[in-house]
Amino acid sequence: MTAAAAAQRLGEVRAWWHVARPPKPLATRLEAFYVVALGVGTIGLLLYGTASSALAAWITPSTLAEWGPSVVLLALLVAARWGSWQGPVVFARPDVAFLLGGPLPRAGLVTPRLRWALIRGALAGAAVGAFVLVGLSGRGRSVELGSAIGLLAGLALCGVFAIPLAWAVQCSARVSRRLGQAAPALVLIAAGMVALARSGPTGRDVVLWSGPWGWAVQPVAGVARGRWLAGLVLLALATVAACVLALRRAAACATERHALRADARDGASASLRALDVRSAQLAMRGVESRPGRRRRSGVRVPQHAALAVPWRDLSATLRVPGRLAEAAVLGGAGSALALTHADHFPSAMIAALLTYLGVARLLEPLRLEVDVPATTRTLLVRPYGRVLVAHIAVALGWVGLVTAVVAVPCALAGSIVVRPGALVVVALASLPTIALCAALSARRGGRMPLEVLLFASSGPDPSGGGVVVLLWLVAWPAGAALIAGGATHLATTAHGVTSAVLLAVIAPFTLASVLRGSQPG
Amino acid sequence: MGAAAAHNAPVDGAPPLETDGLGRDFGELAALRDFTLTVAPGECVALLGANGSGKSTAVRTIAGQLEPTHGTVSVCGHDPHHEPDAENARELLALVPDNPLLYPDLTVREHLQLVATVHGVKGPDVEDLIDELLERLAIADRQDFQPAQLSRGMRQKTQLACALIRPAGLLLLDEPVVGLDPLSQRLLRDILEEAKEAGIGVVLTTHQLAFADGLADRALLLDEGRVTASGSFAEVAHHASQLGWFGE
Repeated sequence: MTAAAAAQRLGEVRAWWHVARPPKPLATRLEAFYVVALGVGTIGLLLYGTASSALAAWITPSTLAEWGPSVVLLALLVAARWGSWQGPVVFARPDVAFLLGGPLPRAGLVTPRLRWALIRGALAGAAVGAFVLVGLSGRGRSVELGSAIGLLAGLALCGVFAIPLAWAVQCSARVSRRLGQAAPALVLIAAGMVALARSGPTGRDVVLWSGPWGWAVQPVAGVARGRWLAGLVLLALATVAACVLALRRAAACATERHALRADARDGASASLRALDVRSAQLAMRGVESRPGRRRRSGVRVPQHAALAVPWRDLSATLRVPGRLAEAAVLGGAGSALALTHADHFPSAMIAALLTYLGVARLLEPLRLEVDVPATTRTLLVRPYGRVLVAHIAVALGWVGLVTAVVAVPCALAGSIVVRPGALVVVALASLPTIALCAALSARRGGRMPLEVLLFASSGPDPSGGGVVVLLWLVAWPAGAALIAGGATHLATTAHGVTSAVLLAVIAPFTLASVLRGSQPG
Repeated sequence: MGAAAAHNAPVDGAPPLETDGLGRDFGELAALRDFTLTVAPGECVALLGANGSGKSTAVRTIAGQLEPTHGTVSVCGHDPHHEPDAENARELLALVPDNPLLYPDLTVREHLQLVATVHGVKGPDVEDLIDELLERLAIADRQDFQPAQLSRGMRQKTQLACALIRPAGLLLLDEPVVGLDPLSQRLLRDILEEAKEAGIGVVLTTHQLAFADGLADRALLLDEGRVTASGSFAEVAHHASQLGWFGE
């Protein structure tokens, strides 16, 4: 079939769809846009003053120059990783069977969706730019019009640039795998860029010229107009080149990869409609999973029955060493923050939250237990609740070790905020609380109970249930942040060590008894 | 099969299907290994084997739905895995998947109209052809129903009608009799016999030996992704029965 004949047939299929399922009239589509614009405009005007002054504390030309390139780099990384699970072009499952499975030009089917994705990328980037400008112009500051336009253009171009990256990842399993392997290194590079930018004008210049992530923020990062214009030109050239390459490779994504993404999207949408976050997560994870024989962990089978669950967790964890590294990074960052800034209560809470995220990374076996509780009934003799409690042992041990290791350089550098010995003890004693909160959150299986849904829909919540749902979602992380953050903060006060130790010891007993009482289903 | 002529003729002398050393791995699991098969025009080949033996993987890899890890596939001389030649292969192969995948908002008739349009089946006779096919598959009274209003068997018939409305050189059927009543199974057998007579190559997977008996000219027995026996249907079915895979 010639290209012209194929294109003609695609036109005929589009014409058929147009007749069989006419699109909504333009006025109807614009009405939805109008309602959203009106809502955003009204709320934006109401909140502008508050948001502007709150953002102004964080977003300044100086912080943008130091943090901006790293944040943009991480945003590009996240966008590219999005291609591993979904990506910019996702068809419906029947589309994969009937259209991609038919003799229609693949590029003709993909290109319009890819173009829309590029437009959405530009709009998202510009929206982020507007958000940044609100902060920059707060507290009586002003931003020069040219710089403001430059920032909007830079971030819009970055938004566009992200789409070809995600498309490249979507098209190729190898690229996707390599990106997954490179992600931790890229995160470290982003952290290094912050340190370099803060080291002085030369370091800042290096970071701002290190790539598209730096070029995009130059207009408001204290760079001279002529130079940031050159940066924007470079960014525009890189973006155009990436887009041309992506559009040329519109037919490069195999049917199999489209089908996997379509299945995942259908599964995740259905799960999210039922507010079942865990099933949605599993549906997405299925896209890049590689089933097959697993290598042995090498951990010896324990002789004592009580060690069966920790052995199972350790074996599972060692098969995915990336999780151990993530838990170490998050737990280590949390511990370091707690030891050096626990006198500041919000910092202590953030520290506890970071540690919570680290522990949660290692609770996947517990989540699997909750996914299929029948396994516990069949394979394990011990009561379900006790099995769940036993699942925290490995996570607790690993993050505890990381905390102890992190405490050494902090102590040697003299950066532990007060009474080093006492604070380290309290930080370690807080870990069971954090782990139990994470386990109690994981126990819910990411599925919202019917009672919560009913209360959300019929209760007194003025937001129509949104606040109730949000509270349900953040309950355990917030609990961990309050209790563990509170304990470490108390330990920094004059007579708070005893109270802190008491809090760190009593809370786990209470939480463990709640977890022990868990019933399957 | 479809009334209008195919826009893409098979490459001269190319068989409906030719695979050479085809393999597909899922991570470390080799779901299909060294699968070599040539199907002649008008020949029907049955793929037999236990659950997880690689039958569906073979069909889906041939159809271009799964990328092969090793080996090559040729459908009427066209490669279903490399664009733009894959367009020609997709024109010439018709697939009936084991799990019917239909648009939730299209009716049975609209599905057939869509497939006819996608495959360039045009002309004033198309609606008559759709009527004829709907009548023959006994789903004419459900032609304005959407998939959610249909039973599993009806959806399977709709998918079958979608495969039959357009011209094809190779017909791939993955567990086609699942969900079909005995009368519909007999009808499907008749349709496949006609397809063979028209020179179309047929590859089907099934657990029901009785359905393939007399229809399939050859059979391949798969086990853990490998072809462990091939030959006439009777020989392979006997071998499989001796292994106890299909009961007594």
